[in-house]
Amino acid sequence: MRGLVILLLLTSCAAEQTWRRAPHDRVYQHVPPPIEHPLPPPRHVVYEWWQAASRGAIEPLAHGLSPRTALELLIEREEAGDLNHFGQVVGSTWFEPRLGARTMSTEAVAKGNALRPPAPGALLVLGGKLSGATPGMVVEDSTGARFVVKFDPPGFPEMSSAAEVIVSRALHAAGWFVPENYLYDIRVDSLTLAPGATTRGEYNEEVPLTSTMLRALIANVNPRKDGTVRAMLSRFIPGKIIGAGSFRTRHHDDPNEALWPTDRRSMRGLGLFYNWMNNIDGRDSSTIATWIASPSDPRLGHIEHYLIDFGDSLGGAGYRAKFPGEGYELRVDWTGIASQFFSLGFYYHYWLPVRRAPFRAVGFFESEIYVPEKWRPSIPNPSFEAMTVRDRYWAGSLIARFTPEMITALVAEAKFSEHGAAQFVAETLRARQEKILGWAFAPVLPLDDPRVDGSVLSLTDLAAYAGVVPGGLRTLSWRAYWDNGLLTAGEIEDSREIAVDLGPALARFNTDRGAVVDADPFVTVRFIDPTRPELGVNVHLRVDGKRLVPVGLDRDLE
Amino acid sequence: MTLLAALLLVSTQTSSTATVTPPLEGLVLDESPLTTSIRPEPGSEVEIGRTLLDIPGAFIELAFMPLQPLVELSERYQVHQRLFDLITNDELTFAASPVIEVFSSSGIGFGGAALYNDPLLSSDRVSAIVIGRVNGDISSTGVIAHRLPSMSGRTIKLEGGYYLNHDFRYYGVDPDNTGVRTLIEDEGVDVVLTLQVLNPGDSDFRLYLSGAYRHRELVPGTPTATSLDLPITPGDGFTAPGGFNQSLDYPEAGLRLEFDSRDSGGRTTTGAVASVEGVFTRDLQGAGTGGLQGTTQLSFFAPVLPLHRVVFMQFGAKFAAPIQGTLPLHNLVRLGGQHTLRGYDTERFLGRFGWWSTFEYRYKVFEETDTGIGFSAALFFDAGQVGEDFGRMMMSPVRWSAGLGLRLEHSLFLLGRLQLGFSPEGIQVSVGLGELL
Repeated sequence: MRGLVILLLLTSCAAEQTWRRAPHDRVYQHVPPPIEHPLPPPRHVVYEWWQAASRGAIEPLAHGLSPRTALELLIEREEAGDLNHFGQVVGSTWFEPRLGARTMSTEAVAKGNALRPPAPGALLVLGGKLSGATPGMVVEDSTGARFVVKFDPPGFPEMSSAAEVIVSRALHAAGWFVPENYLYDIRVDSLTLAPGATTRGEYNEEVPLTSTMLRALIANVNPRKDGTVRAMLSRFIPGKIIGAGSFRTRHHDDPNEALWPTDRRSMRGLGLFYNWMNNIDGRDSSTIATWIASPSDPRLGHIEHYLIDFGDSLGGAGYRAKFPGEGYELRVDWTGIASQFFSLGFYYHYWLPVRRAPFRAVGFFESEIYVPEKWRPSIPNPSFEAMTVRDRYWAGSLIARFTPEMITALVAEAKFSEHGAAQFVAETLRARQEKILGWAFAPVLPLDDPRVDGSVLSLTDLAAYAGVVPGGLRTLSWRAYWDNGLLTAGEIEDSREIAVDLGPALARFNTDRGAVVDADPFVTVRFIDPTRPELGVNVHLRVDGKRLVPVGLDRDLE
Repeated sequence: MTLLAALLLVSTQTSSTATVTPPLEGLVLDESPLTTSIRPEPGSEVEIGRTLLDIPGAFIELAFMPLQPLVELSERYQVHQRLFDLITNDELTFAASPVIEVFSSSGIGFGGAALYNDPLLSSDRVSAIVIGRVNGDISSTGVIAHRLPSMSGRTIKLEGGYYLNHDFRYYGVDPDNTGVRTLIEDEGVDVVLTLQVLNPGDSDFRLYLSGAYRHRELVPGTPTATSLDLPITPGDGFTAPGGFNQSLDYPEAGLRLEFDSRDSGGRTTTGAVASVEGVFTRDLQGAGTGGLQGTTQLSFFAPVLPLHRVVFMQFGAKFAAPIQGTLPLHNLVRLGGQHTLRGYDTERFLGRFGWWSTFEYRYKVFEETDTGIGFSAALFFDAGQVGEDFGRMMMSPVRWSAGLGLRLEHSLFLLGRLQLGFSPEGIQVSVGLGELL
């Protein structure tokens, strides 16, 4: 059924390319504002155990028996729906284009949205969760701003707080919504217990928070000799939190959630970022849906989706360092189990040679054994698994824009105190970036960012930009077509930025033929790498008034 | 606000790709009106096509849905922790647990277990387990073990047990063994006091002295819903075991020497376990049953590949010699069941002499990283012989079985195993909990 639908869609697309077809407005790509709606009731909380059991065992079993799974092996998965005609993700309540859409300085990437740090001075402790493996608190600074406080696991100072800062800043730069995360040295004597502060007891029940409990917590989270303890303060997410998002299903309380998460390139491609950053926490509970009231009518608003909890990134796993194998296979990896069982134990996991980094704050984080296509989160993530080659290219095109300077600046924000740890993490991230781009760019010609200056069409070669062109730079061929005919052609040396001037051909053609665009207002320029001529990039331009405007880009796949 | 910023950024993006540039000479203005909205239209509440493509997998998910509220309530209110604390007194380290026995030829069994102190890792412990089965069978055991500081930590252990088995499947002692079985009701009481002799800190050797009292009553069995065999009757071709239709009391004295050099009590990769045991018993009722039995067993673990790919080999032999009259049933060599010749029925072969061996290849399949608990698979081949005397034993056919098993292990102890054994007589499934090897 679905395959038939896809075929019909493809047929209709073949009849008239989407970039040629109205609608287009004056800027050709327009996203209307979100639909405003009343505050929905709180969502059902899906607890961790059930999600782990459901995602880890029940859903794989169900998927294995579903025709959809077989169909998707035969027919390429449907492309995502949150796209413009350049294959870029448009703004939504899940994602806003940043690094790929505008120039960002290294400092802007490194600082991200962390521009309102907590005010210095005393912190009022409102409550918290002091028992369990991942203790935390809620505090209020002197200005009344509230923060969630997270500590590093005992014995692993800086590990999870560094991961939180690095990954949240990188994700923010790329375009996802994340909380403002700050590293903060809490002076133990600056903590004041608020009257009526509560915490969770052994049975998850609410109990009064006492100063004894607080002292016990601090004593267990790597306090320094000078009476301070390093913590990560996460500013409260704006709006009214209604629950978690989902990587699998739509929530019908959100009229802006027209697409399933698995049909969003922003959610599919997020998997490549988590892959790069080794964030194995792809649970629904690592997202938050918050209702933002409209400034004009507080009774109405819309739901935005935030990604949270990045302590499972890099070499950490929240309250501990990662175990060998985490990030390389699912927590309950049925394929691995079956391989071990049926091979009579002769099958060995490829990741076995992985060794702990030589820094206590880093844990298991490396780039040598790492194979991007084999990376796995701890439990299956349906959106990540829905990633197509184009989704992967898109996410790769964002990752490629993180320059070495940006990565170094991001890691510097983590303020590692161990000598060499920051350099190790930055180098590992760069090495993983190189591998992941090699995978993401392999089946495409990674030309992107079409722009026109006068009659000159320019593009960026993202592989060259990121320095990951296999075999070095080459000569590209290009051909410009109009009205089903060849307008002009040429060759150009590849570099980070390539440009072709269509002016002479257009001028000559106009001289010969008079008005050009009466019959066909669109010009298509096709670029190919002669060494792999099957991989082309077509840039569609429209004559708009007396200007050339890029209106679409499509690329061939291997 | 953030979304408004997002929309502005989208505009910025599209503007950046659609740079406003000076007009090109010679191009004709095209001012056709253009409008757009690229927000996807909301889908229907229930997407029929998507749902249909997920059948029958969707039904599997639906079938598990009733578990969701239970699991979530347990996590939210920490029900598991409350239950655990309810049956566990942390200061006294006391725990109780219900027990359900599924894999029993006498039908399903229900009971309970109580433990004081860590039953798996400590020599100081008190434990008891009672199980009643649907056919009226009862099985109960209790253990009190204590390390004696005044004797350098040597252990003294008192074990007691009572059992009643209405349908013990009796195939006869060696010459009667035709594969036909009959039923015996077996009732017994055991009390065993064991004292560790050698200093446990000195070496891998352990020496135990034991004294025991055993009471036995063997009478014709009772057919049950799960056992359609007939009870043993005179003249049916079977030789009744010693002490049949009598109520007998046996004192017993034993000496056992053990050697254990395993690297781990659970997921063992290397080491050996060896034992030699001699037991003397004689009934007090003048029935003329009693004897001397000697048992030796050697188990050897060898890593054949890295990371818990291990070969386990075991060889054991036993003889039982009557002091006067006949040997009691419990003194005989018994092969078949969970530990030997696993493809055969429990205690399928009985004799005065016997040997058994196992070759087993074990390999780790999965380990849960947080707890260290995991599964190993095992492929095994068992062999053994029994006989009325040594010569007959050697002349009798070598019995064999093969199979596979799944072992639930922690690195420190074996939690249990599920085995599927094949033999010329069919297939046997067995389950063992908390075993040593």
